[in-house]
Amino acid sequence: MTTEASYPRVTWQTVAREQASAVGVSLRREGALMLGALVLLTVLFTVALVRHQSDGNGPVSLNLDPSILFPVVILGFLVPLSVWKGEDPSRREYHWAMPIPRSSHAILKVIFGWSWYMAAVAGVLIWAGLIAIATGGDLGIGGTDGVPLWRWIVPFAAATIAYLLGSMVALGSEHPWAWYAGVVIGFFLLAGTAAAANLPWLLDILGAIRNGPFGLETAITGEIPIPREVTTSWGEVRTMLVGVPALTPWIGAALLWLGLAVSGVLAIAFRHRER
Amino acid sequence: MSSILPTRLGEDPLAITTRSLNKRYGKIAALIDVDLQVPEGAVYVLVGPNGAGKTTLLKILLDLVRADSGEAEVFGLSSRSDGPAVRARIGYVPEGAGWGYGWMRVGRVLEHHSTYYPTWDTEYAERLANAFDLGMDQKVGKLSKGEARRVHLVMALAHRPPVLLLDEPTDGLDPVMRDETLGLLADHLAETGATMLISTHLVHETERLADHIGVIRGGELQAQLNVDDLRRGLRRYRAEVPTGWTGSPTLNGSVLRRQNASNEIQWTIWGDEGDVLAQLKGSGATVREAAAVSLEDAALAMLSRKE
Amino acid sequence: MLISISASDARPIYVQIMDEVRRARVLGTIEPDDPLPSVRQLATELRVNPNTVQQAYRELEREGIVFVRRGQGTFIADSSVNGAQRRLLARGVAERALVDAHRNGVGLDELIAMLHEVAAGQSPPTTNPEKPI
Repeated sequence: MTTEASYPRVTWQTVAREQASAVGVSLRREGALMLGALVLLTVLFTVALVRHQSDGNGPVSLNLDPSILFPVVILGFLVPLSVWKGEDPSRREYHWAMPIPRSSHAILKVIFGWSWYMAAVAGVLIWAGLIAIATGGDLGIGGTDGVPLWRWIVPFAAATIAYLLGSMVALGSEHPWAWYAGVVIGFFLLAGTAAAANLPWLLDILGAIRNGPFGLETAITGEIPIPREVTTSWGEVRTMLVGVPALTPWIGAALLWLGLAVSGVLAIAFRHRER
Repeated sequence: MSSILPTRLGEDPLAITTRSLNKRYGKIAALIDVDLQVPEGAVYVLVGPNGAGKTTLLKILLDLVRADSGEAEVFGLSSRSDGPAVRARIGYVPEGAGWGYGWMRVGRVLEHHSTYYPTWDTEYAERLANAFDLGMDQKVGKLSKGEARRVHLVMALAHRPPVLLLDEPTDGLDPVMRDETLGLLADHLAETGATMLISTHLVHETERLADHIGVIRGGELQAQLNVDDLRRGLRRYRAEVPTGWTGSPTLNGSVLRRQNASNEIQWTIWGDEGDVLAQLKGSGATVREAAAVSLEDAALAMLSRKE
Repeated sequence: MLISISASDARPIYVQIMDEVRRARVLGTIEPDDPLPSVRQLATELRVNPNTVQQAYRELEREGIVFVRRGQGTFIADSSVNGAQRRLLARGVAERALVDAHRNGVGLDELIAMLHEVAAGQSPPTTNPEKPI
């Protein structure tokens, strides 16, 4: 009745279609929240602008700059927790019990979560663009004054890195929040120890991980800190470290961290081949 | 503990087999050298106390858990190396209520599940959902244990798999739903001729459906046989014995259970009825009764046996 | 036709099903050419393994109590075997009574005498658990 070759099996196309839809459903609430936040922000902007102009000031135009996507990029670390909702490793049995290879199934889910997330990032960018147009601001495209093309790619690459790093945590651990807290707190503890115990080599290492030519922050913001003379709001002139967009360091850092994140996710997904 | 009852079926073909399956969790041995044999089309009831290894055994068949050593096969396919192919042929109802995505509605979960099984019968799924009184719009995570398990039953049955692995299928269900479930399982059997492996500690309920029984205790398979053979070979004998009766030495190896009060003794004995009666009478006992033993009492006798 | 079985009965389930069909036939509740429920229907109704029902129907067919019409199901056969069935049922009752009697140390003569006594009483005999045995 059921020999090896003769049983009807689901195709990857069907699985892909279903996962795309299922991941969308799992992100529905988060999507609604984001939409709500955008609506709220629009209302607040409008109110602030109207009040600003009615106070006798001139019209304000908001220019579009890729750095406004930064908050959405940071959320990328948390999106995987919603993609894998209710499926922490100890309770992932339903996903594992499906009649298809598990590691590929996991990777498929990661990919579709990423797709929905990229759509959301693009959506926020479009929203910001619409606001810029509505206030007569500069869209920052083209021209010698405009924002260079590579800087538009930075937030999408950054979001991808954040999402993949978050996916490693969501796929690989039972307590993702513990990992997040642990990494952040650990970093600060190390930095504090390095400063307090006067360990310049440790500070250098931590600094390199953050903003060095291959640092994570470099990859995410596309900027490296450069000392600049800055006039503070009370008139003082000081030398401070200011983030300045830099293409070459960004390419190196982004490629490195993308590579690390992708390998990390693949490694954890393939770990599910055996228990 | 040595086995009194047979542990090997001589039947063919087998839908599910394990060979020398071993699994430890730390110091606890969940499965010790288990040779499970479930014939095609059988309704095999796996009985044992909680923690006896039954759930682990089912999970190894699905490759949700890896055995330490030994093999597990379903229709000749290895659970370990052909996991996806094996799982395509199995309908699984896990114990407990957590299965599927809690944030999905019932209707969506069934739809989601159905895409993975091309043999899914939507009309059958609807019929089952109606019989189980399931609403399509509630989130699975908000269902009661009984409702959630009924959803799991629909998920397992609706694609008419050749093998069903049911872990305590009626647990959490009220009496009406338990009865309904047994009827639906009987109907499913009649229509599909599926092989069913039911893990339970409620033998009484599944007694009418079962045609094979396996008793697992402390990780070991103590008995594995056809219910007809069990029925023929196991008897409860009641006899009066004279004072000073020393027993029948040749019988001692086959006695599963023994209760006595003053000069009347009751034994549950495995063996040919004629032989046993002859031995008992020969030793001076007056046998008053040689009754057939229900599956439940048989399981109880095997599980409560002391070395 | 109502078929009821009990898991705690000493007889295997397929024998119980057969006895129920025999009983219905003897009592006249079913007649020749009446259909029996399909294997699937009866198995579902009784929550019993379909193979068990199948076994019962096969044995009934072997004994000539029922016959199978291809594609239509199982039907009660002609009444010529009625006498034999009645005897079989009676024999079953007698065997059960004797087993019970032996278990309780009641001898054959005593049993027969008691049967007459109880039968001569007004109300139909019951298996009332509250009356002393």
